[in-house]
Amino acid sequence: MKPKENFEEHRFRNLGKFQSIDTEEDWKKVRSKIGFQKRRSQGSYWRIAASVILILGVGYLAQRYLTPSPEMISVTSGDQLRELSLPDGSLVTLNKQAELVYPEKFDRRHRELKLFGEAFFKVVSDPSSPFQVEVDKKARVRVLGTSFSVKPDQNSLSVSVQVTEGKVAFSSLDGNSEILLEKDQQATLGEEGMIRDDTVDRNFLSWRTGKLFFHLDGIEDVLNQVQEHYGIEIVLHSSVPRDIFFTSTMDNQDLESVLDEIAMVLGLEYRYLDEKVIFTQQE
Amino acid sequence: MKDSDNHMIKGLREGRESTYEQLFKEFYQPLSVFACSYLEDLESGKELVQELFVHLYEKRKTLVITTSLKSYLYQSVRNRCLNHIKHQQVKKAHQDNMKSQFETADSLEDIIRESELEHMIFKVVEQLPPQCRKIFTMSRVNGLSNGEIAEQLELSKRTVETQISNALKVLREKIKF
Repeated sequence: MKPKENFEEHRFRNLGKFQSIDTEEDWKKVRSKIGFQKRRSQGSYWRIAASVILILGVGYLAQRYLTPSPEMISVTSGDQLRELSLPDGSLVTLNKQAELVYPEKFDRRHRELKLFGEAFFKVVSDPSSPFQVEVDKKARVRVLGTSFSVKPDQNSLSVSVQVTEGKVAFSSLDGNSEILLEKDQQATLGEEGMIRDDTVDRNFLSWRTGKLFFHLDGIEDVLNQVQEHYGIEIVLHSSVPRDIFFTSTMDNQDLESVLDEIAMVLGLEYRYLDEKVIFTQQE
Repeated sequence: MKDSDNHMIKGLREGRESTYEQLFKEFYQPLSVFACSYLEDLESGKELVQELFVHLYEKRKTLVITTSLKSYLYQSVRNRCLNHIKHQQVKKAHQDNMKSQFETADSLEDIIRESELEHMIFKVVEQLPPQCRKIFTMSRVNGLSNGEIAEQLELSKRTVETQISNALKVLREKIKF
């Protein structure tokens, strides 16, 4: 160290190293190495909630043709939700960035589809022809006459299924894990196998209904769900205590008013930084 | 132990992604630079800290922390650095140097304080107005003279000097040296 330098100067020697570190990038590496498993609903966790509603319109069932090899149809949603009807009259709503592949005409013995991404199913009841969805090349959902949701997670490491009505058999493709789910039950197929989820997320279908419902939910869970619902990154500053709880129902509210409400009720502040929202303590 | 520490440790034990993410974003930079001071290489330092976080998650069920979370992290990084060095093929001369460095090693508290200071400096510099930050970086990080900076940025030497002194003023204000 040069004698004429201020005594503080040596403290700048590592500044360059700090500047060269890309924390965001390296966090992604660590996150994928860890492979976080989630049991409860959290924002970054995709769950496919397909509500399959029993439609007792028998008329559709009569229309089935014997075709040796049907044409396969592929439907993709892009930045929008997309609704379509299947050859048997069943209805599907695809969430954004999803794809559904199905035959032009269903086989008489079974109705088979392939899904990538998140979707919502309303299945026409036909006990003689089970309705089966293969999800993300990992799992299979067999409809036993119900409403269900299917959702793979963002990193495609697992698939979750939640049942709104009826019964669903949810299994891995290799058939090693299978679970039967009934109304208001949910399970996740991940790297550790099939796990029944302890709590069912009320906001599973928020992407479809536009409603967010919170009841004594912790601030982290609340912000995670808002984050997922509006597609914007929300950061909770470390100085904010985590044991604060929020109760409210928000019906198709815009993001600003949701953030304002949370801030006001919990005594917090938020600001925008780059493309993120940051919540801090009130000053 | 601070209350926020308790909360974080609970989050770590439960495997909550948001807790790990928060901890990582707070400590990754200073811990990596700290590790680098032992390993003489920033890449190795970063990898070591990343491995520490993965390990934290894997052993989360049996996690026991009696000091503060911060001390625990710095201690862990230091231990891993020392292990790493022990297992390396090191020239005898270099090894002797290392030994003497450790004999006069500061207490963990001093080390942490120094590291936090450097982290603060980084954060304050990040918040400087763009040109001021650029000039300061060119001076203190890239080691350019005021004249060289003035030339490269097409500014007067006076401007460069003023900007640097402004930066130092802000730093002295925000950080009690």
